Amino acid sequence: MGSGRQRGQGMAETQENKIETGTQHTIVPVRIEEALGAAAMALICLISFANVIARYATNVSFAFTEEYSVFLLVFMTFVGASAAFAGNEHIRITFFLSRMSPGWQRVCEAITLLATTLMFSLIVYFGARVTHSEWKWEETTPGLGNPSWIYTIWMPILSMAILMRVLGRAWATFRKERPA
Amino acid sequence: MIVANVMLLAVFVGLMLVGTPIAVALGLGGAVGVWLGLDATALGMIGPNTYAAVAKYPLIAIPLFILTGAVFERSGVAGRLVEFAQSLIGPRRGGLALVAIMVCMIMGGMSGSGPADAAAVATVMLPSMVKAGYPRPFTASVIAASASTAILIPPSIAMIVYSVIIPGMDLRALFAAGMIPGLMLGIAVAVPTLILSRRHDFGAGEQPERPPFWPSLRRAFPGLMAPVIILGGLRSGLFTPTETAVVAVFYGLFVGTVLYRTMGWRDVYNVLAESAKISGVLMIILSLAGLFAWAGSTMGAFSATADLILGVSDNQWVILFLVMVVMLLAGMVLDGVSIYLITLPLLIPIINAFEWSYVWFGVIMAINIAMGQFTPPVAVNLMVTAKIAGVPLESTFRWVGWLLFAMALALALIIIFPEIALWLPRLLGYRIT
Amino acid sequence: QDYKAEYRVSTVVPAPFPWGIAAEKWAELTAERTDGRINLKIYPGVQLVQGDQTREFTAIRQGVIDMAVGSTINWSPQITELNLFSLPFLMPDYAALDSLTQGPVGEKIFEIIQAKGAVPLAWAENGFREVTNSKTAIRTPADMKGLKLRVVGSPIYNDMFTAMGANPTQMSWADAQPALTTGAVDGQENPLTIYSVLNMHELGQTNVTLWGYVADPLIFVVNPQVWESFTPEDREILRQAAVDAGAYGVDAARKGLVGDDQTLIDEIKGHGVEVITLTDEERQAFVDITRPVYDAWKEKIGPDLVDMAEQSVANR
Ligand code: NA
Ligand code: NA
Repeated sequence: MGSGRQRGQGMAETQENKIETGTQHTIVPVRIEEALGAAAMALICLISFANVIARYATNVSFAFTEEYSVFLLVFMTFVGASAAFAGNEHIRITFFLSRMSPGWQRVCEAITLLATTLMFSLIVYFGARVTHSEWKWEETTPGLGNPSWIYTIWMPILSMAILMRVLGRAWATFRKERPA
Repeated sequence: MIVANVMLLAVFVGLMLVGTPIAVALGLGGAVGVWLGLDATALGMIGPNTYAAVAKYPLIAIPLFILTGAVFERSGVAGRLVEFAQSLIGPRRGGLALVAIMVCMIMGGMSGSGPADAAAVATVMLPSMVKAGYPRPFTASVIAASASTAILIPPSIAMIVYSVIIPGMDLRALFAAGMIPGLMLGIAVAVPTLILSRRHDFGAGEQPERPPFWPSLRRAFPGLMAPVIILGGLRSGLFTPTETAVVAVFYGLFVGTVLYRTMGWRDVYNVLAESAKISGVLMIILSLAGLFAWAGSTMGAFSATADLILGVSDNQWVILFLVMVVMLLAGMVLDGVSIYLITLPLLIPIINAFEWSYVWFGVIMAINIAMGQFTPPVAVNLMVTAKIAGVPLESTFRWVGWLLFAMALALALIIIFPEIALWLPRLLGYRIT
Repeated sequence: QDYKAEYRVSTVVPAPFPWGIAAEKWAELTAERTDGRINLKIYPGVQLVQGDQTREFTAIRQGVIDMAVGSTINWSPQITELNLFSLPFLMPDYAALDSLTQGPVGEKIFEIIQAKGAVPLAWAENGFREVTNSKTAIRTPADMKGLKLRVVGSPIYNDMFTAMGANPTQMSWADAQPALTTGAVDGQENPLTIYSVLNMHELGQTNVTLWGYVADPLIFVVNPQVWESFTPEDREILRQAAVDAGAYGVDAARKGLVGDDQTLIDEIKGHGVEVITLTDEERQAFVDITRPVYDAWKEKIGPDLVDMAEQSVANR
């Protein structure tokens, strides 16, 4: 849970060098997610800081903007998760995996691929269902009265991006491993 | 329903063991459980719950504190803190090791997690310690152990998560309760470190010169102010945790770009992007753990398991011992946030059954997680420092045992005398639940 | 008939809050009267949607939640008309509140809820909402300058409190508790029963102003597919149980707050809390300052419905 992992010093690489991280395989650059994540983080900081200023130095009513902060938090979660899926940097237990034979390792990676694909497909489907329902019934947000779907639609969209990242990495990994 | 509950756990544990990301293992476990145990419409819970589990106002403090830690790490504060600590401690047997421990703890007062701390301090300290005659495995062990105190010394990401899960918990009380135990753990690392250094004559090559006190204080001062701002902001009641975090972020950027001039725009961007990614990695676990928790509590899996554990013994010390063994094992393979998310739904009924203090239990849990972070075979902090030291993990085992033993003693003291943890929050007037 | 072993019933707060009491009574009466054919399990804390009560109605519509006893405020993001009960100072007393829920307005609201995808059965009550804070005694709108207040449910609250000069922020109840504890917000507005059960004076909320600016009735609803799955006899039992539980809940919500029985207010004062009851003139200052918000929201809610409500209140 620290930046150590982000520098590629996480448990996977330290343990053995069999499990790869990194984003060399990507066609769509991960810079996109990184930039969106940085922007979301910067906005959260600015909104929070403006709220501190507004609260202690002025009488301006500004706290309702926290609706944006909370949304940006969700947005950043999925963008950040997408970048981490591209780099195979999610928190996972590689202790057993790294002690397996290459054959079993491939089986386990296939199970993980299947599970991850299924999970985010479910999020895409049920997330989209919520967004559709909000759009159809014209739901508004409790804070600012904006249409709800303009916030929640990002979860299925970004989960779709995650699916692409997961499948992209799997494609690169399994194709490389195929005997020449 | 029993089949569904068993499958809920089996899918989760099975996926976790084959190396599936924890987040996915939790979420899919929950989905499979609901699919088998409840009606098909209940699967619809995935939509609103995945979103709502992270769309929570108090969670904004998490990315902000991750960013705070990253900004200070990037601003080069560690090097200046080392110089200052050296001027304080001076050249003596085991001196540099003490410096490393102290700097780890001060850095812990700015960052919310251990591995980042361990990396920052190991990078700065290793070369000089090796030159002074400390074996690499010993150095890696000491830094990994002392960096683990970051989870106790506020701010602490894991404690934020704990406070969000436990209803009515005052995060400030929890932060304050971690303070003294955090310092105790630091001392617990220092004592065996000094004894071992003397016995094995480590650090014989420490240079006799001592950095001048005032100039090194002046250079370290902006960095030293960071924990002061964070603790002071929380203490004064002026700032809430989220506000404290954002003030610390802006202060850190000021230090990095204006005072130390170690950060340019490029660095600011990188630190934002990197922190966003780390936040994403943690928060996606929170998001999908929400599905696991939904399934487990709706199908009664958690209360059933808690009853099972409580059935083992009605002696609270036996149960506490069991819980701690599990925590320690979990701490070896998992980070603090995941451990809190996975185990708390099970533990809350147990905490209630024995009427333990939530604050005290949160501290005990954090210590167990801290110990797990440098307990082989899987130890996140130790892996980071061993990698930087360029030594195999196995080589650290002979030193780590002593450090673990000392920490276990400190833990025992806090269990026997809960006031060690509860005294400070009580003094500060926070509500202890 | 294909009945589920258990039906998931969502509420925001459990017993001993009147809200939870009403829900539990519903479960108890239903189980009793159907000989255990229909079992309701209460999930308090809106835990079925991670504590976010403003998503509750969506989850009911999608069958994630089978039934709920929910607040008109919490469902207003989905049903604009429910903002009616949040119009500032529309209901001067309990008789006014009853004239809405038990009159033509109540029937109209039920039609709207039905059209929005849930089956409404009966009314209960959370109560008149009073403002509390940790900083200052509120007697005039000027006293609210800069106070950061937690509100939930609808932008009308942002508009009202901004008009009064305060700094409102919207968050769920699950988030509000830690926010109040850590001082992230200075104050909140809720019925006194909520204040009292939670011992909010211990959270520093030592200034209470009784102004009764809005009230939130609670509504018992069932997901339409679940409703259809019941036999007509069981539907009627479930409905009647809701009506009876609602009446029971309303009594609980008003206990110690009506007529000669002011025990709840006395109990709160006993904790050293300053409880202010506004004089008519003081109250009028708040009515005046929120009037533009009332007028603007009358348009959004639907002038016909609001006219009907004003008439019911006038004829109460
Ligand atoms: Na820390
Ligand atoms: Na930490």
